[in-house]
Amino acid sequence: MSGTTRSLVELPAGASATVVGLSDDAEPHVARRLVDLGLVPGTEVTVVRRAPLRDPTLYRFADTAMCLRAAQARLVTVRLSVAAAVAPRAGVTVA
Amino acid sequence: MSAHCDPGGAQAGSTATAERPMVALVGAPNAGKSTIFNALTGLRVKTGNYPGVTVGRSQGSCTLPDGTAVDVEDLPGTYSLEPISIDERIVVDLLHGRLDGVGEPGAVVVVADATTLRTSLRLLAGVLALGRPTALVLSMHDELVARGGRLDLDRLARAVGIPVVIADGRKRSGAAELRDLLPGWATWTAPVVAPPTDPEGCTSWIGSVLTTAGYSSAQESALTARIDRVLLHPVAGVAVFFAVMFGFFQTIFALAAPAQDAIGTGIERLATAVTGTFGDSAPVRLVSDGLLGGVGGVLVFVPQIALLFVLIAALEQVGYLSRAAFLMDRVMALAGLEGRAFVALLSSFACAIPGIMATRTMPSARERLATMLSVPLVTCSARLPVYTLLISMLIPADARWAGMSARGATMFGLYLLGAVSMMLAARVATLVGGARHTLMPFTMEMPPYRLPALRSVVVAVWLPVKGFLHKMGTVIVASTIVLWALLNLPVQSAAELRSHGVDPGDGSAVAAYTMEHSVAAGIGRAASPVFDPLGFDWRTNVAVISSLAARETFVATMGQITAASDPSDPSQALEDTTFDRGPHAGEPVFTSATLAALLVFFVYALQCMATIATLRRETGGWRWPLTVFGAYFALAWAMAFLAHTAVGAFA
Ligand SMILES: Nc1nc2c(ncn2[C@@H]2O[C@H](COP(=O)(O)OP(=O)(O)O)[C@@H](O)[C@H]2O)c(=O)[nH]1
Ligand SMILES: [Mg+2]
Repeated sequence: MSGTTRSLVELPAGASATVVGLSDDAEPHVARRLVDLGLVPGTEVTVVRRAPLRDPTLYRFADTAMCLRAAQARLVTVRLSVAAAVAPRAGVTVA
Repeated sequence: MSAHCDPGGAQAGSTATAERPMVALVGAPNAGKSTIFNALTGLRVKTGNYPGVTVGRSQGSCTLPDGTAVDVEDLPGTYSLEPISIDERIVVDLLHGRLDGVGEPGAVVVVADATTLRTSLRLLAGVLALGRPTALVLSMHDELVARGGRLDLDRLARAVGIPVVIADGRKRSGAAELRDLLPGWATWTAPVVAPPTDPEGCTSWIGSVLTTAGYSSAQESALTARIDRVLLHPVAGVAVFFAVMFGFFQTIFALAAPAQDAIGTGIERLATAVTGTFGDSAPVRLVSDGLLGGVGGVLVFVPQIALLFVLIAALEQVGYLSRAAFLMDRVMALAGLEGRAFVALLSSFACAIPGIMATRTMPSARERLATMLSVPLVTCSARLPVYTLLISMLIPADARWAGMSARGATMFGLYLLGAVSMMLAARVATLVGGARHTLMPFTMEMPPYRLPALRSVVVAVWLPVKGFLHKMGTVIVASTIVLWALLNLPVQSAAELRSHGVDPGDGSAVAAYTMEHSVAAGIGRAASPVFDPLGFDWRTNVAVISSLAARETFVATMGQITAASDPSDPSQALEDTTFDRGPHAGEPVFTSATLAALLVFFVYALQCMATIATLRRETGGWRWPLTVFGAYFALAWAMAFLAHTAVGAFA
């Protein structure tokens, strides 16, 4: 599974992935903001948890815990980290 | 706190002075700017708005170790110099020196949370490109170390090419190094080449800075992770959220009660002493009933208001408000809003004005307008005195519903009604304004849990309480005096009194007769076609009209009116008030139905000049404030009519 890219919004809670880039659908001001928050290629992102009604989702990246709505997370393209590919639900048992 | 920043004298923190250089504090939200700002400037700060917009501005001045002084500006939090909200635009404009009415900054101090340095360096790169003297202040260094991270300060300073110091504004001398650094701002070192600002170039610059500085990240806070596992849990977290909200209001009422009683008793004694000393005449009653009664009736609420602000400041600084916004985001989305609108909603429980101010971080203009127009429906602290008075007349003190105090439960219900109404109004506003709408990203940082800094809480409480006391000293005193005049004019001659069978020697009979034939009574009766269907009489009409300026005035007015008829026991007098003419003559005014109608009227009516002025300034014209004033008045009337009819049918 390692090597496949997908959108950040598709990752389950507990999964980790590496940012590859931003979708072309992102409007320039939105893309710029995501970059300014640290969502640049190479950044490790972990899905911490979803809100009770499934949106927004809390992520950890660039040493920060940050909430994004699905509308923004959809714009971030990621590649699954090896660890996450082996045990994609590792975080769930912890939570 | 010796060689420190005592703002020199009363004029400190007044308008930006030409001769004093300005130092701007820039940083991400929660980076610790305000804590450092408070450490530098002490309590004497000036808050207000930037010219033309409702973006909160805090400025203060700071005396430096060399005896000179600088003005300090605590700028709104921003992640980037590419603004997407009004707040962020202010930061950019100010840094460029193109904000009208605000001076150009001499120096810029970038406040960076040491545990999230990677993100802050991107902002620093943007600031350095402006070419102003810049220093980097690292906050939360204690957390970085405690969580196993580290960095080398000297090497970091060399890597970024500007002065770098550590500061912890929560400690007494925590900002000493920054203070020592400030006098030399004009000669601060600058990087030979400004760092690149394009995303890729900047990313690699950040990487090399962090490597050079020997930076290793802090571990995720284990305590925060553990607490979040409960507080953000789909079931437990929501349960805790409701418990926190319930506890929030219970605390306000239970904890403030003794202080309130003490103030109330003190004022009563004072009023009795005044009448005892000077006798009982109309002018004495202006002081004893009008001023002491009216102002006292409102002063009693200072402990409650202070407590409200303490709790909001503490919840914010501990980090719980971000969690609440996270949990509530989807619920707020039902109203077309985002999680941060919840923070505006919660602030509006204190006062709609900070609530309106809290919308400034919302990037979407449509959501922002919808939030601003709807938060005046949230139960603000000015409604408290009114609700307390009316509920105490409606429900006996010992009544219990399912074991809860019936008065407390009613109060909670009114708060809930206000919040739900706010959501519905926001939904209407987002639908109306939804035609053109660019999608703004929703991003919100979740800070680790932190103990709040006492000083920041004190500042957060003192400023609004000062504002409230000021309002009391001006608006409420002035309206009390005007009202007293209207209630006591025209003066009735002895002959006139006698011809109506009133003994001119009987003080309270004269007072009652004078009031019933006063100018105010005329106004109140003129308004009766509007308010009759709600069960009001001319006295409540006068009180409602006088409360259009500020809701609290209602209590002062009712106090004046009833104290005139029975100075010894005004609250009994209130209950004994009967219609003096018309079809209901002789029947009590304050029936359950009328009290319910009054309560509901106050839930919806926009009776607050300060809010209207803020809305005007904020939306850039009279259109929105007048529209919502009219709409909420109509809504208030309709809902009060419903309440009157419904309660009348059951009671
Ligand atoms: N541990 C620690 N906490 C701090 C420090 N500076 C500020 N805080 C806390 O961090 C929180 C956010 O600070 P604040 O000044 O309101 O941030 P602002 O949003 O940048 O104005 C508050 O709870 C402060 O008490 C620091 O140096 N160390
Ligand atoms: Mg602040």
